[in-house]
Amino acid sequence: MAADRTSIGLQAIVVAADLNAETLKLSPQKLKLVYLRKQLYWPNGKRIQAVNLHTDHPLRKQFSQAVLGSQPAEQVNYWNEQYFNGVLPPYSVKSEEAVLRYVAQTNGAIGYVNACSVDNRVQALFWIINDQVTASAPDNLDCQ
Amino acid sequence: MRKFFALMLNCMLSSLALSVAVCKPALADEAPSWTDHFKLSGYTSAGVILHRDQEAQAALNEISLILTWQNDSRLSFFGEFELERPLSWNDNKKFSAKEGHFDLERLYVDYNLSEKVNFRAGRFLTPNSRWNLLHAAPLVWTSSRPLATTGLFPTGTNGAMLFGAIPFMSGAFEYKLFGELLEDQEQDGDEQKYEHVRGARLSYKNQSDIGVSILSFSEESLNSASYRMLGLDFITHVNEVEISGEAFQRFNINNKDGGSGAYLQTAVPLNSVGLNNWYWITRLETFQRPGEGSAERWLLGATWRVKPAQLLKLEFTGGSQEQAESPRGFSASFALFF
Repeated sequence: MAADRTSIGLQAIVVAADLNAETLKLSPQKLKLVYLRKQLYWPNGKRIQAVNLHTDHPLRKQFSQAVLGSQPAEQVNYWNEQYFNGVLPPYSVKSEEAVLRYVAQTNGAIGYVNACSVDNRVQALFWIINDQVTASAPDNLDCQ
Repeated sequence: MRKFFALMLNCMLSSLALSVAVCKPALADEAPSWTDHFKLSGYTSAGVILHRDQEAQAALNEISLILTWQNDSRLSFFGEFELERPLSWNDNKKFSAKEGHFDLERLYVDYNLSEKVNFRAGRFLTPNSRWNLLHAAPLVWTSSRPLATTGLFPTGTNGAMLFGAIPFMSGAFEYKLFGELLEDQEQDGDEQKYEHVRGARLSYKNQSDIGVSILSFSEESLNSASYRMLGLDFITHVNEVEISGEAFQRFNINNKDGGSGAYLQTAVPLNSVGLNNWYWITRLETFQRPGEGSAERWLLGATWRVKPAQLLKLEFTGGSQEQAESPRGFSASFALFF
């Protein structure tokens, strides 16, 4: 099911989170720091609970390239270094549905799914179109 | 200070163990207790050294335990306890545990003051050198450590630090401002003691990392001397070849040369010759301290990344002067995170 949705709209991925005064302060540059675990807190002091798809998921690879500038396999040294400092990578789940549930049910959570997978449990914060992170929704999103 | 921290950590570990032992099993809808937020990890390494002009040695180099605690609050805790050389062997003594000793590497609490400002208090690695900050055996390509990263400045500081990351273009500036509040109360062997340590580090992290640091400190000795030190470091990748280096220059109170050191290292992937996950390592070093002359080192080696968190290292080191931190000859070691 998730794989079918993935194959529809790889052009656009949505970063999903609760839309509130805190999340709206997030910029694409800060999104990178969040997923590198360099920024651990929302401005109100609540801990950011970032969630990843597993490393082989095509959306993970696209998100990683667009936001972090490299593929998950190229980040081994970085995460080993963070491990040495007690910092673990963002929590990882296997499916987009798991991301949606995690984001919807976890305080301070942020994640990403295919644009066509978004439902009323979460809200769109950023869009990733052609490897560019933008706050503007695409004009021609086709989920058929 | 280390004794105090060790006692503090011991108490925490004891209370943690006790609370885990006496607590009833948690129910699914029960809120996690504060002890549920502890995580324990670590690393270890073992190796052999065939010295050029001494007896061969083998040792379990270290067992390092890392304990962290964090919940949803702004506060977090980090501790690293190291058992150094718990087991060693050489041509005469056979196996021995006599060289083994505990060392408190790091013990601090972090508090998030705001989005870009964090406060740290406790014992931490002096953040003026990339190698010093990431010196764990599974993180570095070689068994030996560049002389310049051990003999010129204090590797650990007991004090306070402000730090944070600020996004800039596609990367981020990271800053660290720190100062010593309590000097080391113990001395490991003939290790140089330092005092009045304070400094700053600014780095820019993107596809390449560049760092600059300034440090001032005094060496505790009969002729106690004060120094200021400038440090530069970088790491980058060119056609998958990792190139890294650091340079340090110390100045005494008269702005005269107070010692210096540098290294340049490359790690070339050997995939193209059919050796997947093998890397050819080359390093050149120079090191000089006042009154001790200078030493040069060259290193050739091969390192196999067995798994993402496991390294097998083979290397041959040559150069001038014998230095305990960087023995000349052949060495091999295996390191892993757990």
